Amino acid sequence: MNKRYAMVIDSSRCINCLACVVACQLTHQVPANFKRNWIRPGPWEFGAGVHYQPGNCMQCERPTCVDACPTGATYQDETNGIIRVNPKLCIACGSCIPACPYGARFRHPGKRIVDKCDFCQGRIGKGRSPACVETCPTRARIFGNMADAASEISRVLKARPTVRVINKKTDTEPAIYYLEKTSPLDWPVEANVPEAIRLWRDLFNPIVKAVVGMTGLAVLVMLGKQLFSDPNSEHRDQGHTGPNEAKQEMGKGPDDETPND
Amino acid sequence: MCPKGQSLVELTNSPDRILYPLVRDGGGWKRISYAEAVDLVGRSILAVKQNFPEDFAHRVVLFMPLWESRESELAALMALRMAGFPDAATPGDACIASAATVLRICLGTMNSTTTLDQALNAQTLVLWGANIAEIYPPYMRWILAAKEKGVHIVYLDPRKTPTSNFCDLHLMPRPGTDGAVALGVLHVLLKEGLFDRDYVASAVNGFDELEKAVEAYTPERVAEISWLKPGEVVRLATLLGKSNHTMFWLGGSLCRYTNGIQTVRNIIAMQAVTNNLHGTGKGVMNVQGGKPGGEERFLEHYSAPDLEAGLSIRKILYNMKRGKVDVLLLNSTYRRYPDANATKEAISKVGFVVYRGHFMNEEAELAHLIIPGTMPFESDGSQYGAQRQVVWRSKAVEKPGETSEDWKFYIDLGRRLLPDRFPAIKSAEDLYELVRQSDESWKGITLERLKTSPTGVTWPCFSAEDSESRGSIFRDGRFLTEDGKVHLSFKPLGPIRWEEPEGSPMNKSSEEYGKFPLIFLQGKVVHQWQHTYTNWSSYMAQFSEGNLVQIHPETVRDLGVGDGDWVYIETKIGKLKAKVKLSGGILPGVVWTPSHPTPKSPVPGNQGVSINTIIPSYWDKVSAQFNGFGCRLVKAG
Repeated sequence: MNKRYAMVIDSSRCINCLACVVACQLTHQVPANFKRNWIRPGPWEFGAGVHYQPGNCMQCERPTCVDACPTGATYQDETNGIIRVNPKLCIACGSCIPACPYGARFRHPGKRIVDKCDFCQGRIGKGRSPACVETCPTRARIFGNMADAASEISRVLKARPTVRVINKKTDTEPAIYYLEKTSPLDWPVEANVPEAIRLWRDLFNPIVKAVVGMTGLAVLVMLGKQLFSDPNSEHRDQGHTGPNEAKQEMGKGPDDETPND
Repeated sequence: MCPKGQSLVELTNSPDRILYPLVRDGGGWKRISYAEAVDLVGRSILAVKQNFPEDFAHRVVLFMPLWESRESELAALMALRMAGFPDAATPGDACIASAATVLRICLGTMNSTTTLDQALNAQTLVLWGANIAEIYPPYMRWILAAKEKGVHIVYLDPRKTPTSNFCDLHLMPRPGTDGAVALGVLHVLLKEGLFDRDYVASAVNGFDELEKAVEAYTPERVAEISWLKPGEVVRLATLLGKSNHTMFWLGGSLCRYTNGIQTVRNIIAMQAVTNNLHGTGKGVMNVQGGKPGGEERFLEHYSAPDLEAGLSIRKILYNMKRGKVDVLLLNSTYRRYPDANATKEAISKVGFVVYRGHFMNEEAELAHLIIPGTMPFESDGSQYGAQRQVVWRSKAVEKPGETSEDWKFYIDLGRRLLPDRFPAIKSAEDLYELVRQSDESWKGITLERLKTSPTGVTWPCFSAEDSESRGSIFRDGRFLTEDGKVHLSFKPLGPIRWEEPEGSPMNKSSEEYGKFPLIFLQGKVVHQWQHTYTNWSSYMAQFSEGNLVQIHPETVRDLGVGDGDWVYIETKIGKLKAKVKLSGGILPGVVWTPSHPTPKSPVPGNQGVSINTIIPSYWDKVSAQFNGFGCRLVKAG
């Protein structure tokens, strides 16, 4: 049976400690100032303070980022619903970035791909929870398989009222559910899929995947990627070579597995 | 986990880490071996003994801690005390020494008197100046569990913080007036008979003095002092008077004023008269009071027989200024004290400064010799949490270069100083065992038990067969004072009262009055330790914006500055430039600024002026003041 991974977030438990953001960055070697997940403060309310809303890629059922991808690098994993990026096909063109209503995608400065949350594919494959879930000191995030009626997430979804944070014009059917009374609700922007890509994909969509996957186009994409990528691009926190000979390999995520298909 | 802990992954691998001992060589540094470094320190200390055979004791000083384990602290104290040097400046002088002192005098223990699981058995939990969500995120699960169980949570803090979201009542008294609020509550409790008369008669010393003292602190007067409403004082009193199980968690913030002693004693008095110091769902947690005791006997055993008494930090700094200190083992930051520039000047008069740190920071700048330490993942050792729980940490990765564990360095130094007498200790485990054997209260916490208990074992534990001692630290209803009672009256603490903090702009006789009308507050943010190594983490820096100042829009109405503008925060000794953050979450008339930035940080977000360079030097009998004095804002061009 196919899985359907999702998350329920009780944002009333969030204390804005940012542990989930840092844990994610360390797990996936995302340099500082680039984020696969976030904590979004709600508006200041007198008497109530600030409400904090954690989030990450919503792993949408109708992913506009997939629509926007010209090479087929971004796709939905049919076995579990997770939206993934195939690094071999991604040319970091960035079309998917404005196509996401949640701003969940960014150009990775060292890898020349567009990066995003994949629910810690590598970790969940080994039966662990995503890093953000595991590290949360207040257990604000519940992760699991919605297709399994006995899972914690299914039970919570059944027992408690939830809302999804969506843009009214482009409801992408996100797989992140918030327990009621979360705030803010109105921040996702309208998905902006480049017109050219939309037309192109509408015309050729049935064949595009096959073509990309099986013919020389994929080879072309990979070649192009190599041409574009800069082997010397380095970030302060990445692959530093210096007087520090005994550099440890901690934080090099053994859990961080990129898609291998 | 909290983000600070996670920053250790980056810091451990940081390209900025110092990996080899370095000695001053002209204007630069020369690399030497670890053995040479230990020898150099040993020779310098022995030379002091030789040059001043009669009065060497105070010429060598240790600045604690930044220890990566308990064993490291004990090894350092052991090495210096055995060699006859008693002066060790603890971080408590700049932290929670007032609370520790008062707890010891009043209750006979300087620890938290209970464990956090008791919060679930409380009827009321009072977080007094304890911003748990930002200071101690991992402990928030207890607060949440208590809330879910229906425990009434009261929070006192002059700012709205993420902790505010979890309380039923948030009172915002003016900074430094908590002690007055406590007296106001006591006034109502005693007047309305909302206290346990029988218990007081049998267990509390000094009640008569208390009764007299609180008379003058009517809710109206306290409201005037604290900026609360009289009704709020009465509401808090009624709530506490009617609660059968009340637990307090005291924030370190209460000690950051010159009236910290008064404040903590007054709060303990509230718990004493309502019979809430001992028992299920009762007690006092002390944010940094989790340090286990029972080490005194060990340290006494490993001291020179004629060891002199140690000096206070102020006396030590005075000696330094006069060139009377020859060797300083700087194991931590000197910027933790107020008027950091004066401290820097004092240290610059010391002949030989040894810095044990990790990065080229302000401390390294003052050093003649740097002997880099290991990071926590790189060494074994025991550690403790907020509720006396001891945890064993096993080494996860090898230490790089020629870095050394603190315990190892001080053991090696001890052997260099006293080759014939210093015990042969080969590992942190050896040292742990030595300490464990020395005191009954440690007997039950065997290494084996410790290593198989991932959440640790709570001290004290007298035998391996004993189950863990959770809950109250007091047995049989007796406090750990000589007569087993609570002592509210103790001469050296002064009379029971409340006074304005030194330098308060509300105090007409202060230098600040009229010139520096705003109240200064500094504090930690969730992603930074103070002054120290998180400033070297780019992951922590991404959440920082250097020096900034949180102010209520009303405070700057006449100043003509808006969000994001720049102002100078000026105190009577200095100023720093800070970015304005307008916020409704702070009292008008109060400014708040984060305390971590340093000019030496390699990452922009963390760069800024070291906060304590503008903090005037005000001290009470026990510790330094960091908040509550007057400051002003001036628009920056």
